[in-house]
Amino acid sequence: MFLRTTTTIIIFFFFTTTMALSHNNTNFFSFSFPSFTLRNITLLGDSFLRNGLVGLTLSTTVPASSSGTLLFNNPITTTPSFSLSTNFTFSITNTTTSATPSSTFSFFLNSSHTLLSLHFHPNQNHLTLDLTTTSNSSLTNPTFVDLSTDTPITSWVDYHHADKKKLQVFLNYSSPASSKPQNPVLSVDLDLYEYFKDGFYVGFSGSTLGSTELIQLMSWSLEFESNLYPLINGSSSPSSVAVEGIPVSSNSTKGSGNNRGKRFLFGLCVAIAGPAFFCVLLVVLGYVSFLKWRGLRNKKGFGTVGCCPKEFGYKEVKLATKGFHASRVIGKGSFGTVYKALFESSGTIAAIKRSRQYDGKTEFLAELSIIASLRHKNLVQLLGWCVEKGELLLVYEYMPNGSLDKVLYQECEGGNTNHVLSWVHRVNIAVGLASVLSYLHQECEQRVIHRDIKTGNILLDGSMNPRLGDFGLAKLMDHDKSPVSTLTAGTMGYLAPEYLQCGMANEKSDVFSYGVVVLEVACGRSQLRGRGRRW
Amino acid sequence: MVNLVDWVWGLHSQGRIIEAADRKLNGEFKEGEMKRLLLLGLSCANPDSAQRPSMRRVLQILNNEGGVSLVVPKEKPTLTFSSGLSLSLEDIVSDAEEDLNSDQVVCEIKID
Repeated sequence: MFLRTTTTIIIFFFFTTTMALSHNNTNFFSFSFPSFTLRNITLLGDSFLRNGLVGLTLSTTVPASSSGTLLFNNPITTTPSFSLSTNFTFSITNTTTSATPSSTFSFFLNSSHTLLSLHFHPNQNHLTLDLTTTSNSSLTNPTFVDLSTDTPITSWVDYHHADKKKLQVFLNYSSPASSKPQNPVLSVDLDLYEYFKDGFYVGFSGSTLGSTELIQLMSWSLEFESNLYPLINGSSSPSSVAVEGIPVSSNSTKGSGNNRGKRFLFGLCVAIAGPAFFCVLLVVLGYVSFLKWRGLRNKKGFGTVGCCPKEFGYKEVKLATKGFHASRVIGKGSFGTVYKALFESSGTIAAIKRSRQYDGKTEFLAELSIIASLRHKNLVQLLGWCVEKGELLLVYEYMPNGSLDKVLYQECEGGNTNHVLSWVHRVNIAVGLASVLSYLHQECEQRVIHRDIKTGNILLDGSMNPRLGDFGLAKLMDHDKSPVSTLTAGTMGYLAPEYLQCGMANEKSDVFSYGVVVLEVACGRSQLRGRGRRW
Repeated sequence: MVNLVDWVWGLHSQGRIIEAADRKLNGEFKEGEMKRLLLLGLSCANPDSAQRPSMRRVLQILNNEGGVSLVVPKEKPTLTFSSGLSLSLEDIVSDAEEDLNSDQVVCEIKID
């Protein structure tokens, strides 16, 4: 007991100079799941227990959308000066290689009105801290650890009240000898007690969106410490202290026995390592958080970094296209005019499709949400939309190399052969298109028929990879009922005979159009214009 | 004006499909790959939808995955529309296979 008190005094001596210890009645509990059983945890949604591991998403080779949650059964009661230290090992395994990863693994603290979650995104290899109360704030950092390698990864999440109320996250590949890295991948100043005065539940969730990752949680341990009577430092008053009992799981029975030993060792280490170590650490952490703080200020505070399509303001779009100026037109299709847009606030260049035919159908927005959920490297990603005054505007990624028909046929017009699309690129285009169509027809959750595959709708990104665009708009625009748009030049040569005959499109009619595109790519001749001499 | 599919199919019938290759490439391509891409294009653009491969199969052919063969009839099949909606998919597929087997002039490329 004496040593414990001494240790605590030493620690706080180095962190505060004005703090006085009134009463050192700390409460400590811990649990450890080297492997899981159904005791003390609740599994919700698609989560399951197998061989001591908890799977949070469905184990399937067919792309699916699933989500599951693991919750520790007992709530954790907080006091103004609590500390939390937890570590967990997880793995994200993509069961097929063809499906684009699109999953999220999250650790969360949850109360009735606040959700603090730490999202791991294997697709972008970044980590987002989300705090949802009355408002939403988030912070995103790169992980520096490849989350999608199938290898288990261990993460440490530490929150020490004494350590300037800082929440820190560390990540490392998990191996028998893996240790906590020195530098956190995320560190943020946050007073958790402000948000979780009534305590919290703790757990994990995992979700996939039309993909095939299996997210597994392998082990988890947690240590929680709270001072029943807080340190007096002017701001916190003893009257606000919760004096309820701290729930102790059955696993922690061994914990309380071991606690003394653990704390003894910990105290000894601290005493030996001495103040120098802490000083250095403080300087480093101070510097890191200063950089973070500066970064955050540049990003206008806790700005949400989103990856999902969002609704754009009409004024914003109008400004980005110089009021839909004729000089910004980069293409025209049956659906509408395409403009190049420059969003000066973010420096993003986008392509905006503008249609005046939109009549405000609700199915349209439902359909839009399907498109928005599709993810494939060979799709032109939808960034957002805007509906205003009977106009529909779709905001897409900008493709610097334009459409395939232009690239295939432009050179022969000028007689310049320097820019002939190379064979390697052509094969890559055929493979990329097959890959995305295979995804749309068979792999994504809702089967999607594109119905308007043609060289004009295939765009080329900066690396000449094919990106299928104009996604499903044919269907959205009620193509079946509109003979005018069906017979528009530019589509006719690509329509399968049975589609022309019966007007019914299915996967095989997409395959027909794909075949025509492949022939164009190989022959360098347009299906539409009958270029060159008579064959 | 002959459409592209008919033109390539015509060359294929005469055993000269390689002549369909884009001249702008100046012969800078692998002949086997070019031939495979052209035949793949034809098999996808088959007027008979039941004989078109699925996109997954197309991907297997392009990725050279073993055990996938690509068969393209020498003559472009003519399409007859039937209103026999009672026919099951299996009937259509087996009919197509019979037609293929009875056809003496087929060109087969087998990919290891």
